[in-house]
Amino acid sequence: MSDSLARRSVIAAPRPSPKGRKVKDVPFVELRGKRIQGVISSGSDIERVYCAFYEAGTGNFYCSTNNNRRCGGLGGGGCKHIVEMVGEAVKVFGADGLAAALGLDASVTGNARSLMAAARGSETKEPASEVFARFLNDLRYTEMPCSNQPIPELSWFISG
Amino acid sequence: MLPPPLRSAPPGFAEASAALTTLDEVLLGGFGRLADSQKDALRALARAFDGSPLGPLVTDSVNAACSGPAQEAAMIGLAAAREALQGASADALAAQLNTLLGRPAQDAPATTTVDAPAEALGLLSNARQWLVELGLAGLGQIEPGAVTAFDASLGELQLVSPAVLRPATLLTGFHQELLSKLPLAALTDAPRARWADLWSRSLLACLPKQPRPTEEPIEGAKLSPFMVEAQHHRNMVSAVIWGVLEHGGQQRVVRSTLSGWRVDALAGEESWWAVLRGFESALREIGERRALTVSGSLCSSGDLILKKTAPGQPIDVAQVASAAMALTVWPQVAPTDRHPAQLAIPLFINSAPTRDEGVLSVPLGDGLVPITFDRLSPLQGLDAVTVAKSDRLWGLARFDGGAWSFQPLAAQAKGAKTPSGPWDGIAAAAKTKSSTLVILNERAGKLLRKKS
Repeated sequence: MSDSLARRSVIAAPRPSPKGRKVKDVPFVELRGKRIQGVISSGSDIERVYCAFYEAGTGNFYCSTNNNRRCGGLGGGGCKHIVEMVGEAVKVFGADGLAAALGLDASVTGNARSLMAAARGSETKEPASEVFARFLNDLRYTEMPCSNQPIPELSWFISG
Repeated sequence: MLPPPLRSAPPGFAEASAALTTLDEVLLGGFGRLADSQKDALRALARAFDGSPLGPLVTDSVNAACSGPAQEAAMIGLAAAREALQGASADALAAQLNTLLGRPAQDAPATTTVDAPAEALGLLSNARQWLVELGLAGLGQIEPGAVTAFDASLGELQLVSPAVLRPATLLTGFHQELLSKLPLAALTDAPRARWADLWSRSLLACLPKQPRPTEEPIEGAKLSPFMVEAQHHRNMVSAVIWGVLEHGGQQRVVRSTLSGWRVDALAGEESWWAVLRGFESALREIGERRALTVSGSLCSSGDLILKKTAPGQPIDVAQVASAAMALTVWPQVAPTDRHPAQLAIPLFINSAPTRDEGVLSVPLGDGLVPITFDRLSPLQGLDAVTVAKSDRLWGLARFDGGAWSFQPLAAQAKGAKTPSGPWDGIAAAAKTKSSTLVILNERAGKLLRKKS
């Protein structure tokens, strides 16, 4: 980081508006460490969702319902839910943003197929609870009260 | 070239900046392992505070930090020292700008101490503990796991009470930013001053007693909003509204903040729904450039807390902004919030920007202030081309990284009937429901209740 940037209090990092985001199909997708993780609708039952992740580097992945039932479509190349999730992550963060966050080349982060071909990992079972908890935490923001109070601390941010 | 009062740094500014750099370097490497040279620098810092009200606290904190791994009390003392330096710099900078604008100095806003609610005390303590651990590790070498360890506690703090909205908002933004940037390849990849700011402010904002500006009720006053600044991080959106308040035969400039938590999928202009869902009518009227009849309370800082609003007549935001520039009572930064990043001085420039060697500037006094697009939010409804072609500009004088700049908030192109700014985006968002929120509200209804 340049010295002039290192001396700054406010470094804006606005996120452009994603085009054609399908919130109904993939209500939640985020980057955590080297992972893309998210929640994908089941299509048939509104109370059932799939929680999935793909980890750059190892190439490991998993997909299960929020009740920890393994996704029946999982195979060596993941499943349709992981493909959908990665597609939405590309819309939200862009191929370049994903490349920077995952430590990969942008030529492979444009879609699920090339991303998953970049590192052949394997199905790695993990409880859905962590991703599901992140999703519930995010959903709560739709219900938390608004505020009419001054928040001077938000002056430090133009981001996300 | 900047106008004369801003051309040189105010007295003491360079010394304060050097002391801040000392503290920031210490924070970057962590209190867990101070080098002898850093201990010497901290002792010099303590001597600089000799004779000031903070003197004994800073000396004790420096001694504690130098004789072993610093604990919470010492870190609070050093965070307070850091904020005092920023506060003194902010005062000197604000005085320079007041001289330039010919605005009289105002009394410091009166404050009162507010106690955090009992149910928040444990969570605030957890947050301070988390910050102490970051301080020990060093802001330049935080492990991602140390950040995710705070997830659950942060989630509870967001929910516990609106009384801790300020620390909850700040910690949410800081936590999110750390997660998106870590792990750093090198210590020097850390935004040194920024993270030191966020860390110090977070630590002090999580103390159980907070000074807050005093409030007085007002009723049936007229508010004419002349510009809006969008501020946001991933999970919070604010409309910071600048307006002229007419009340009891007096006119003054006030600032109102309307905010809401933002679910992650809410993006672009739909983000205004984070705020609209709580303040649909008030925000829509502002977007339609109307005056409002307002009731609520007026803080000593010049912040207007809007409780009830009714629509008024359409207004000419250029005329209101122009008239506002002649008023003498302006919002001020509350004493414990004083920091150059909090300097936001509204300006209305009734002329075209000038371009010199590729730098776009606005005329001010006997000089030029460069326009910065660094802080331009996608919600602001503005771009560099519109600003360059305009002959009227609304914005804020800002100071960051050692330099003054003009942050544009709206611009009116030559010959255009209406200005470009956030108004149209707000008004357009208010016309239709947010499909993202409708979908996610339904999910929340099914899943959140089912869980509990």
